Amino acid sequence: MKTENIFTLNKAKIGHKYTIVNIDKNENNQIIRMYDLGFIKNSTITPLFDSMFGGCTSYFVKGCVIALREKDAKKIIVRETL
Amino acid sequence: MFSIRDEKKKNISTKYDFEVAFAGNPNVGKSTVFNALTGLKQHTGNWTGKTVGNACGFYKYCSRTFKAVDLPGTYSLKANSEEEEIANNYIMNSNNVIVVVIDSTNLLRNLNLLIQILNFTDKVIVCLNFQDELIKKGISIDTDELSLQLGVPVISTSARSNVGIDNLKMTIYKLCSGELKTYNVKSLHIDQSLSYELYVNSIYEKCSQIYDKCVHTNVNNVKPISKIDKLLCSKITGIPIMLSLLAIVFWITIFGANYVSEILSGLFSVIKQELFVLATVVIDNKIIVSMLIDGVYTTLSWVVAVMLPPMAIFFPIFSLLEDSGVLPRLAFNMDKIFSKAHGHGKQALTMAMGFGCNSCGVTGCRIIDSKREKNIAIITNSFIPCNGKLPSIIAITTVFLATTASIVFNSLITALVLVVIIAISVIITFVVSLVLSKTVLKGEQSSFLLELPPFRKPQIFKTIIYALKDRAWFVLIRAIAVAAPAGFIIWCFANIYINNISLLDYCSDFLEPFGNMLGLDGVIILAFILGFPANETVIPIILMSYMSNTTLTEYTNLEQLSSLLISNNWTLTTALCFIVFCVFHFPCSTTCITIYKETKSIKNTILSFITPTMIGVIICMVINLLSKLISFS
Repeated sequence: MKTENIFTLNKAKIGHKYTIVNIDKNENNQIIRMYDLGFIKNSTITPLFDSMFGGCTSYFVKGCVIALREKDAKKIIVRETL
Repeated sequence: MFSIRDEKKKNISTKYDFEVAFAGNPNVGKSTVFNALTGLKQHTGNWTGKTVGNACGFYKYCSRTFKAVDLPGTYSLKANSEEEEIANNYIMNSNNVIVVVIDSTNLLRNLNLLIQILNFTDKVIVCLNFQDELIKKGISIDTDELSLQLGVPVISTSARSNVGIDNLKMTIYKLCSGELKTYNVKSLHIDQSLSYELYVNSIYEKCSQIYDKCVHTNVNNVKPISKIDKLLCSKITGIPIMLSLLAIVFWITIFGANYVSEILSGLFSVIKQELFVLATVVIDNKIIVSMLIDGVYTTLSWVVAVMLPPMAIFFPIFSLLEDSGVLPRLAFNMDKIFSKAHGHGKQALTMAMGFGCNSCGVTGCRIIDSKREKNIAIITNSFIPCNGKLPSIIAITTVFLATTASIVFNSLITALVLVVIIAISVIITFVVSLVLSKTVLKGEQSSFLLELPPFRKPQIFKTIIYALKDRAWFVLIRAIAVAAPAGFIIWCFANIYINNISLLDYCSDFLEPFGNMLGLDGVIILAFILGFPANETVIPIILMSYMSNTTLTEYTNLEQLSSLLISNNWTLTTALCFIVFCVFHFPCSTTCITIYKETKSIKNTILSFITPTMIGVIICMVINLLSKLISFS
């Protein structure tokens, strides 16, 4: 079986396209909001820019720009879309 | 965004034929559509500003009356916060027509909520807003195909230019009256028993299918980042821009407002003379006339003169920044610093609002979703000196610290002192946020999900007018409900005598030992206590007391103020302690009431009352002690 290069979203590179493979399954309020905003399996996601002092990155997902903290980005597992 | 008027109470008795609700994601221009239909002066925020409960308005079409309900912006029907619960309850339990307002330039994500709503009702009209931006972005939407796919009518609008509104009104009328029928598209129905993740996944699959059929983009790569984003969020350009913005806003609010305050003061003085004459003629009792004119009117006019100009300048500017989309970027930039203190990036914005008015800052904390972080932001909000306290701080600074021969140098010193004070306030805010989050308000740090909407040119004139009207109304209410009674109480203290000593002198003598401990005196402490309704009255009460006047006293120039204070034993220490206590003492009565309304918790209100006071007392004691040690050595 091919080993795909998968990693957490916080390690994703700016401007590259990624596909969401899995999300940490803790069905608390925040995860539900994330699903609604489009952070869901098979969604395409592109990191756009980091915040001034770090700790936060904004992502292009489902046509909108959403900012996430690094610790939340760690909950999302992605692979690069070629 | 934070409309003071309670629309619901005003309109509840009007009869209507049909009720229609407006739902949609945040930032889609829902409130603009609502206002275009109802003509209601409800502020529209381009950012995630929360509508209070359900705002209502009425309009007529074809001689029928329609009641329009503006629901809070939601991302889905699964309730995540109080506002979403309100919207969701309404949609799921009412049989009325729902107009789902959608940002045409972001159809894909917006379809999520729409399809969720269509799973519950098919009495829906889709309103594709921001139609004017489609051409610029190279997007075209086949509205006929979209209507076919969804089974409901689709109307294109550009609400800020009033385009498509008549068409929308007509369609609402036709659907309400039964002339138009919608049909249930079975393929849009998702099994409700699925886990939420699978449910949303299925919905997004449908969204993609519909999107691919109906939307055509000419441009290959949609550019979500604009040049402004790059400027605002990079360290090199962003920091100077944010600091300049801050400096400009501060400067205009403090110095511009001061100028207008002086004009208003003069005007009110003239009116006072006339009112005094009138009152003496109408009322035959000198004491009552004095109580009304010297007590109530003087306090009322003083509060309005000090409070109205800065609010009228600061909040319109703030609203413009909010409407244009700049504010979310600021919260985004500031989040790292705030999350280290276990706070939230949006707290930067509530603190900025607190600078305008602590009570408005507290109301502004609604934009923070997580209850714990919201409470931290509320309790620490009054650490930032509001516009009511600034004139006092500036006056004392000018008299005791900016005493060089050069005017320019003096202005610089005053500016520097203000910057230092605000810097200290901000640092203490962080420290207290951290302490609170580890003790009284313990809990999990919540996720930070912030949508950065596209930059949009705000309706400049409308935004300024709405903000002005809103704030003017707020000041008026506060003046009547708070300043007038306060004026009466202050007058009583100055004019009621026990054994030939006025109540004012009696109480200030009693408080003298405590005051001395803080490097102040009894008069100052009493002034802060009597100034609980309105911080603007603190210095006038002090002057009234020192001069044994029977009415609030203004100072005509700084030399007069200086000599009066010095002759009452004010030293540099007194001035420093005064400034510290002015910044760090209990919030004003309006703020306290607002805190209780927002948190619905007595514990949090008491915490908000005690925390700044304790900090003020401790710092003043330390300054006092240090100054005594220095003078002994």
